[in-house]
Amino acid sequence: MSRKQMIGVARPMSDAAPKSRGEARFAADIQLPNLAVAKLLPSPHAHAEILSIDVSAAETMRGVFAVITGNDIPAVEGYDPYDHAHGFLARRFAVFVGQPVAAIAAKDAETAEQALAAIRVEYRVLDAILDSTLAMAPESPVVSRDLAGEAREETITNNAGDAEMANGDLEEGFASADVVLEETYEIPVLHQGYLEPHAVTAWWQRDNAVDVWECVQSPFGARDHIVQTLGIPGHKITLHTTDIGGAFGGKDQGLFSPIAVLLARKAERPVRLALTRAEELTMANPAPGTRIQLKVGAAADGTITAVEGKVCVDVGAFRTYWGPASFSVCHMLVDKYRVPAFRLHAQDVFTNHVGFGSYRAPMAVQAAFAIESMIDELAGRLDMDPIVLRERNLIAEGDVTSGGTSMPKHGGVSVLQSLLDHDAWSASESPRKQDGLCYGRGFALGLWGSGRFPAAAIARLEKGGYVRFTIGQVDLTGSYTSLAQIAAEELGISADRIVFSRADTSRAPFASVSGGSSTIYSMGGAVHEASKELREKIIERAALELGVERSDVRMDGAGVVVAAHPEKRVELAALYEAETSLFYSKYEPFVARGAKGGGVARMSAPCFSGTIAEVAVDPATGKVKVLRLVTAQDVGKAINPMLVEGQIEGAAAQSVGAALWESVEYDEAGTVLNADLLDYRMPTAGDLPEIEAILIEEDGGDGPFGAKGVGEPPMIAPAAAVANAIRDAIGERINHLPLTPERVWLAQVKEGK
Amino acid sequence: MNRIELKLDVNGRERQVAAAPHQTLLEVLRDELGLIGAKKGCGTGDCGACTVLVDDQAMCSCLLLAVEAEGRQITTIEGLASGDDLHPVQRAFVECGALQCGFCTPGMVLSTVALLRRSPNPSQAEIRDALAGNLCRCTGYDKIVKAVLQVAKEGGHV
Amino acid sequence: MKRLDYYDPQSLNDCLEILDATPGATPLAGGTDLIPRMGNEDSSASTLVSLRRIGELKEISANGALAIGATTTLASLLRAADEQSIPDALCEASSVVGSVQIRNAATIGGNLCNAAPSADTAPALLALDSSAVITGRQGERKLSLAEFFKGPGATVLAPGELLTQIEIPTDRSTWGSCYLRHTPRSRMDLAVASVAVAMRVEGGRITDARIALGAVTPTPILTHEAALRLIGQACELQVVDEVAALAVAASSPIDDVRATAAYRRHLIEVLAKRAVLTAYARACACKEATS
Repeated sequence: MSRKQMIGVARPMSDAAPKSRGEARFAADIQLPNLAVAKLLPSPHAHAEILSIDVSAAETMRGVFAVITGNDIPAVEGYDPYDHAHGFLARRFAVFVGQPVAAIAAKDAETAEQALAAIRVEYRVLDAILDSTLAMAPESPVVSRDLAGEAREETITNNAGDAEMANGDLEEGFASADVVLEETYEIPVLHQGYLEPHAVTAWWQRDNAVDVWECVQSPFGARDHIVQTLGIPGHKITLHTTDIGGAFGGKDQGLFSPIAVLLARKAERPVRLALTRAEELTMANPAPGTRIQLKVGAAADGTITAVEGKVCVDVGAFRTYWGPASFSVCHMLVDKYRVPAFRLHAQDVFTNHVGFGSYRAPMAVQAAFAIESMIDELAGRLDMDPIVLRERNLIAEGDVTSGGTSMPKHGGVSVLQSLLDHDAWSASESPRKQDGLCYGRGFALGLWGSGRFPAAAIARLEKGGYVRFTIGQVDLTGSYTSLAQIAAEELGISADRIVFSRADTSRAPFASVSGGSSTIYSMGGAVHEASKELREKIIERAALELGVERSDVRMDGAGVVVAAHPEKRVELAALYEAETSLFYSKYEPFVARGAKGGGVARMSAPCFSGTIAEVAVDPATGKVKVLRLVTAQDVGKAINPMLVEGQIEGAAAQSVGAALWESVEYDEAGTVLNADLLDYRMPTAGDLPEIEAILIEEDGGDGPFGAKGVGEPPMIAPAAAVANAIRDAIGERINHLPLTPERVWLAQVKEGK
Repeated sequence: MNRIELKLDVNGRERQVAAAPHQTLLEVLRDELGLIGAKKGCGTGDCGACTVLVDDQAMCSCLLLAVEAEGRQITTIEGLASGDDLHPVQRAFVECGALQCGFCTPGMVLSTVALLRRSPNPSQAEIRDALAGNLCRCTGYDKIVKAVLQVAKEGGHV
Repeated sequence: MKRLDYYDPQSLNDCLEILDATPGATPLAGGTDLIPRMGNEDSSASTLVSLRRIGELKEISANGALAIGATTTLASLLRAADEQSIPDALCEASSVVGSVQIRNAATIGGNLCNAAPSADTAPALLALDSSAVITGRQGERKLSLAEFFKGPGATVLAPGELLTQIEIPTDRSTWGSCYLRHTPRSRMDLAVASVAVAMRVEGGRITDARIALGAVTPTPILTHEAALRLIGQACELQVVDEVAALAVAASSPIDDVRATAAYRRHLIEVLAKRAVLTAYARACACKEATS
């Protein structure tokens, strides 16, 4: 096979055909003998002390196998009441509306629901802390904590983490500015919106071992979640991955597996817990609400001179597991551009809401809405083209990043150029009024680093001339397909001959999360290495079999041939047989390995992604129609262009949803008002235009074949691009997402339009 | 729980099940007949992941009681392909990359089949409108629309 | 989930007998409103009486007035639109409910009996001067649809009564009608505000008009003052503005998670103007209008 047969090839996902037949097995599709159904009893209060729970009537009900409450949770070392992981079941306090306070395993859903109704809980209702500003006031009540063991030394507050980052001379920066803009931006709670609600099944085996099936992006993270919360040794837990019906950061390590595990042990049978959609929207882990106060100074030529900001993130009742969210926002406010002076204050705040989580390029959409709106406004003030303005300020190779590292080479300029030259930017006059509608177009830019996470891969020959990989990472919409292409390219065989074992924690080496735009970048590297090692071994053995030197042979499809005499050939299938006979075997079985990771270098393969959006606004109603979306992305090398386009298109749709319709709304008691898909509005096919994806392939650094992460970058810009397009169309800017028709209409009314 | 003996016509076969009146067709398909292709995404008819064909019409099986499905022809995703050969809509979805996680896919494919059976040559706008009841969070719908246009262009029996 | 009883009557008489004899009996048509609610604690349905086998409830006929059986699905209504000359407002209203899947199951009777303030077919049917035919064991009664709604989720149906037919006297060949609503997305949303207008025009002048509002009052309503203002007019823009203002005055919208009252009032003004102009254009285009 000639070079690059498998890289850059648009082929369908390896499991597309079975999925199209409905053969995928998602977490709620797992069938086990005597499977019991689990249901959760949610707290109706945002903040309450649980004085007593009487489960006696429920426990004795016919068809009920087990009931658990916080009292059933074993004491564990390292219990941390601020940690999201431990919030799966309330103990002494319920800290958000919807927090489970009890759970039941029964023979069917109806029985479980009847049993839930028979549980008596006595609450002492406490003041709910629902506003992040009030929560930081000195006299504010605090979100209660179950403090196990000795009282903690530090004073309990609602401060979930704060930090400041600064660089350069801020006063000088603003003093030298010709324009200074100041604004406050608000982004609501956003749900990741995966179609498949969380589901988890647990089944105890002999010798205190438990099998768990869960739709998670990180099987090892999910396993460790159980270790951490229940104290079960890691080697006694096997976390099996399933097909996942969308995750987008909301299913990193699971939420409720400890409940399923505890119920399954008490019930002495397998137990499945599947959330309803209402439960998803009330007790899962959507992205946190964020407020960003931003002040930017720039010279008349458009060069940014200073940035000052205050970021406040309402993280809910628990810390975000990936570190202070507001700190990520601060970084992302200044990491795309050269900013000589900045001072940014980050503040995470605890409130009585569900513990919020990550959502595709976590906090980047929020940060981009702020900074990209402001840059756009700046372009208007300075009468500069918005794309040209960004080019002027774009961080260059060798510049020091906001994290203090050196910016690697990147394709950001090409991204900007390709969109500047695109007819979506230049063709029609903008803004304009036509047929009673206001047309406008906007641009925004996003940046995301490819994640370098630890990854290891094992490769070996499989019967019949196939090659089997075992990795600990789950197949997240096409990642196995692209990984197979990398392996196939290295091995010189068809990607159809590559098979992946479904990841589980007992059988696969460690892998981090499928996400963080890391899969191809990190695991691809590990797979590539393992493929190289396997290829070497195959060559070595084939040469022995054929009685020639290693340099005399080459890979040829599913076999190896003597280059000069191709009729002399040995099949991979035969090599497999030669190392796997039950009794006498010519060779020992060979296992190839590859590994990547170590050292977190967030910007090791930065990806710029820019979007142009064109909209039509009905000024009378404020209703917005997105007419056009064009995204250009610096992908390094697209292993499978069709799958990369799919990521860009899907992310654009989610980002547009955040721009125009999506927000989780709460009432004054902290209860979710729109816990269904009627009023948590996600885009339908009728709400989106064709989405054009432009793949910019430039020298991409150290990913396999130059590939960079592709899943998250395209999420960042579209929301801000749509906001900027609306600004262009109606001449008014709105700084509060989502840009609902009512908000858009109000913005014009204020100006007497 | 009172159960009613039902004879359901599913994918061309008569299936006998006992269902309680409150059980939806979705529950019976999944839990009694092992046809897990139809999914529960919301339970309120807002996402379309449970879509099946009832007498050739797309319907949300989470909104149809199993007892009400008697006497009607039900087609699930499992009934579409013939043996190893994919149905033309399935094949187009695969070729065009019109699915990623696959959760919405059974419903989306069946809605597409229903659309093409009543309107063999739909415009892009018609397609988007007809599929508006099937939410997809992964693809942004772009390649789905392309797949439907491809099947329409190929012509042939759907 | 309470224990549910289920009946599957073969005839209207059998159905009425069951409804009459069984307290808590709820007729089941398309189920698109009823079934998602069944799991809720406040669901009062304990006995379901299926209407699916009663053929006469699915018929559409046009002998004088257009008569639509209560369990006619919105999809079959739309399929029959041309053949049965179904007025534009009703077609428009039916076509925006939910999705293809919803419309294949949801019925016109169900939409009315569910009596949501935002029910789409209601304003259209009110503007078309529709009547509700209600049948019980003691016989049939007919009343103007304007008297059918009592409050959000409540109708005048007494226990044992069934809505069996909707009669529409408004003739498409002489009346122009229009239904407009505002939703945030293109599909799948409930109306935030809606307006239906039907009118008759002779020689360019409006001789008869009806305007109905949806989602801005506890029940869908007719606005008589606004409609009256149109009589004798030729849809001059200033008149249209006044009519719209009267429509707004007749509304009493609330603030809720979907919109504020102020925005809803504004929408009524916008939608009323647009619906009046469209209905006028359609009425002018009717054959008899130009004679």
